[in-house]
Amino acid sequence: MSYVQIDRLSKRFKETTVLNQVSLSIEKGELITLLGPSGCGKSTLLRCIAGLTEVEDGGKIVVGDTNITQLAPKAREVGMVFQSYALFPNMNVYGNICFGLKMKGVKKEEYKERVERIIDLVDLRGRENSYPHQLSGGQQQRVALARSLVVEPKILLLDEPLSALDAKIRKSLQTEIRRIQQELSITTVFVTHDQEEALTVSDRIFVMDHGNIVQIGTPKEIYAHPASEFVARFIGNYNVLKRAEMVQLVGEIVMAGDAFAIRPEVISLVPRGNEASAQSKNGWSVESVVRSMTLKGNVIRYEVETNHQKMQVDVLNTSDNHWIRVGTPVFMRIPAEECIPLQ
Amino acid sequence: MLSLLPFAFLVLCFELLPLLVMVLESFRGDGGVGWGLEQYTKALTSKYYLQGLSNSFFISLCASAVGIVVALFAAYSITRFSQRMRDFLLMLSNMTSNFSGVPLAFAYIIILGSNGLFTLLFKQLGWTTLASIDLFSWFGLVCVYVYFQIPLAILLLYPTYYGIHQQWRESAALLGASTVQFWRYIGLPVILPGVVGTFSILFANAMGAYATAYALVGGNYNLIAIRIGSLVAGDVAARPELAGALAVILAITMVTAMLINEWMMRRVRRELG
Ligand SMILES: Nc1ncnc2c1ncn2[C@@H]1O[C@H](COP(=O)(O)OP(=O)(O)OP(=O)(O)O)[C@@H](O)[C@H]1O
Ligand SMILES: [Mg+2]
Repeated sequence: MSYVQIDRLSKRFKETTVLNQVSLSIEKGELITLLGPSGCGKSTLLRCIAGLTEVEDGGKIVVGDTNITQLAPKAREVGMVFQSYALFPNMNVYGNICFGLKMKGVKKEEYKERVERIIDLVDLRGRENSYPHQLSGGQQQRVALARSLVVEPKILLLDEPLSALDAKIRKSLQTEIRRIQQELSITTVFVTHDQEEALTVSDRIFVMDHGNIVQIGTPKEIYAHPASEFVARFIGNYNVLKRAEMVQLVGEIVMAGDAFAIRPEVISLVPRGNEASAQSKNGWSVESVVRSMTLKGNVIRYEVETNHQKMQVDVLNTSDNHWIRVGTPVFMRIPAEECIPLQ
Repeated sequence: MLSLLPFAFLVLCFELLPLLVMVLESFRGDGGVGWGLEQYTKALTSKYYLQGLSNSFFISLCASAVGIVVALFAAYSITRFSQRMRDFLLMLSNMTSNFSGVPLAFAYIIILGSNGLFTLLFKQLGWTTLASIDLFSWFGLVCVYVYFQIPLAILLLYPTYYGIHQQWRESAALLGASTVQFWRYIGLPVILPGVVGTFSILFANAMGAYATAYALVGGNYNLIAIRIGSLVAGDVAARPELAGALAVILAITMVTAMLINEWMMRRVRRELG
């Protein structure tokens, strides 16, 4: 049996259903992400686990052997880090970190060592006496993390913990959170609406849409095999084509599927006049014209137009790469095995 | 810069000039003759004036303390009401905080005076302790002051509660704190500066209250504001120089109180931190 089991959890606010009979299970020591667009119910699910939001009758949350569905937040042994960090402004770093231990009645002599260890773990040595307003966003985030971790919760809930930080610090904190999580092997639910972040940190990703979990899988599975049009559009920048559009593009097809997803980086562009090399054994070559070009750092993104569709194509930005000018007629080469059928 | 000129002029003429004149006056001899500390010596050696000062001080302290404690709870509950109810309660506070002076004293006299509505009712019911409340005393004054102190304190305190983030409570709860512990360790320390500041204003407000006190007790109770009033307005014995000295002493008391507040607050904060 899994460590965390959530069974048919529902939540309505007035008329709107925010969580629709959500069931999921998480293994001990696993880091899962809840990934989905804004408003799909990620925070609500997290708050239900923490006991900050009441759930509708019938839902059940079990952690270990304990049914915590009806317990007060303080009795759940759940740690939570908010997007805004929610540090107590009147306490310094040390005070913030000790707070939970104090509230639990742990004696100072007993927790001193534990606090020291956690301060080292989150790399805040030397900042113990600083107040939250004297810290950078990344440091505040680490205090929030330490504050939740020091009481050794059964589950750690992180609600978009990095979304207020700039890209660089975000990247480094992603790896750091992952390192700390693995070091403590603490069961963690990480909420994000950033697919790249989810792919980076998770053991498994739970994709959410409108209060439902629509796909569960490892980052690799989710990325390589999106199960639906929604997931394909949300994860990565797939070109998603309905069946009819696909037929328009390449002619009759034998594959089953209502729609097809094609990753921009599997398509290659061959300038016309090079027809010989445009012949592909297992795939299609489609006449098209380059409509725009955007440099995205390590890749160049072309928008390519056929008679019927616009497609995105990513080409690795290597030094021997000669950029194709806007307006150039090209062949778009699409390997058949890279077309992912969707339900 | 030029546009600030009318404002500067206004401040100078209507705020600072009268103050300056009053301070200067307080250093004159009786009848505006000569200079010296004569008025201060008189004021500070007179049992009568010192009693007025200490009466004012303790009544203000009590009224402000009661006001702030009640308002702490009241202002918090206001933040928990619906928008409409909140607007209504704030409007009510705004109105009642300005309801002072003769009308307020009159209202109290009708209700709790020697022949007041409730006094008579209490007598009928045989509740002698309640019936024997003397409105024209120290206790009565505190009651009347509290009446306008509470709404004023609510108006001043209410915004500070919005400085407390919902997620602090949620974090505290998840870390095992009870509601009481949340307020003890986070809520109160965060709003403390606001509370102390409000208390200072209440205290100053009560020290300077004149019309309400005068309308209620007239010359029967010795308050410093009433003493100053009678020294300025008394037809027979107008002594503006002595009034000036008393007013300066009153002002110094208020400023000192505020400074002590400030100092205490800093200490408390350091201990909490
Ligand atoms: N207290 C509430 N009262 C009414 N509606 C609410 C409440 N909390 C959330 N909602 C609604 O529930 C839906 C889901 O909200 P939730 O905060 O869970 O989304 P989210 O997936 O976390 O989005 P985001 O990425 O923007 O944080 C939203 O449509 C929101 O308006
Ligand atoms: Mg959210």
